[in-house]
Amino acid sequence: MKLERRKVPPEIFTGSMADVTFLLIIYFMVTMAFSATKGLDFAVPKEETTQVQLEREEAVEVKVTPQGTYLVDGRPLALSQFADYLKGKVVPGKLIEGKPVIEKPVILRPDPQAPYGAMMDAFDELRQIKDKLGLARDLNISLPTQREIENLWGALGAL
Amino acid sequence: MIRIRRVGRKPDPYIPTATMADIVFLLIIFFIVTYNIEVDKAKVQLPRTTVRTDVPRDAAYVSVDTEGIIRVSSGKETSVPVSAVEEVQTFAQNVVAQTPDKPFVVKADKNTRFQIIDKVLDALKQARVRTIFLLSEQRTVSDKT
Repeated sequence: MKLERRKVPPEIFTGSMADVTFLLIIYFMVTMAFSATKGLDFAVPKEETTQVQLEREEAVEVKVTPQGTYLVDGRPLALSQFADYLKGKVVPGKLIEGKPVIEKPVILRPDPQAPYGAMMDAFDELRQIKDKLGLARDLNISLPTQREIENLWGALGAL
Repeated sequence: MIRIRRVGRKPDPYIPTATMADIVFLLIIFFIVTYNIEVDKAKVQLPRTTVRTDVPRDAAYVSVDTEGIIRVSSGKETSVPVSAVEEVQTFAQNVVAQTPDKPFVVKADKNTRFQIIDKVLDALKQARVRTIFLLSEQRTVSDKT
């Protein structure tokens, strides 16, 4: 009697591959950092080593108090009132591509005891002024450090 | 009535898993592409802002937690605590010496007094850091009270 051998169909077993890839997925999921990867950026002005010409320039000063409130040019204002106040600083008659501009620099000066969050709220609000007022360009916002302020006052005092 | 009986061997029960591997590989590719190594694990309550820009992946980190502990990382290894703000300047100078355009990220708790942030920013400015990012979370409608 002739015994016929049954042919086994050719097959690549992929069941274990799925196990391995699932393990890899679990590793990536566990070690993946869902951290914040965005923030407010600001370019640091280059420090000039050569002698610079200092001019007394009128600027808008935004102070952050230790309580987290704001003084804009000495007036207590809420964040929502910043845009209205700065509207008054638009250069009359000057338009760039049909849009108004504010040329005065804005100096953000938080008190050393002010909470960092309050400073960030003010900075964020100032960064939105361009869109809120439909300005041609962003406000010139500076965040001088205590050392820079002391150096500046020293230099201005020497004038 | 004639009873029809199926002749032959019963096929083995089989679940095809080949396509599952395809899906899983796609998921792996997604994780590899979006994978972001968290260099700084300091637990802070970030301030919330509306304006946010993407922080470059290779940025160096300086973090300040609620207790005022400062940690630094060049962006490649896990952050390490430093004992004084002066060390931040030295660290930043070394990083900038190697990569002059290296962006720095300041990750600080929103309740931290500005005094310490001021010192950190000053250290970075003195180290000639060109771009600084102040890390924040997205402000939502519920934040605007």
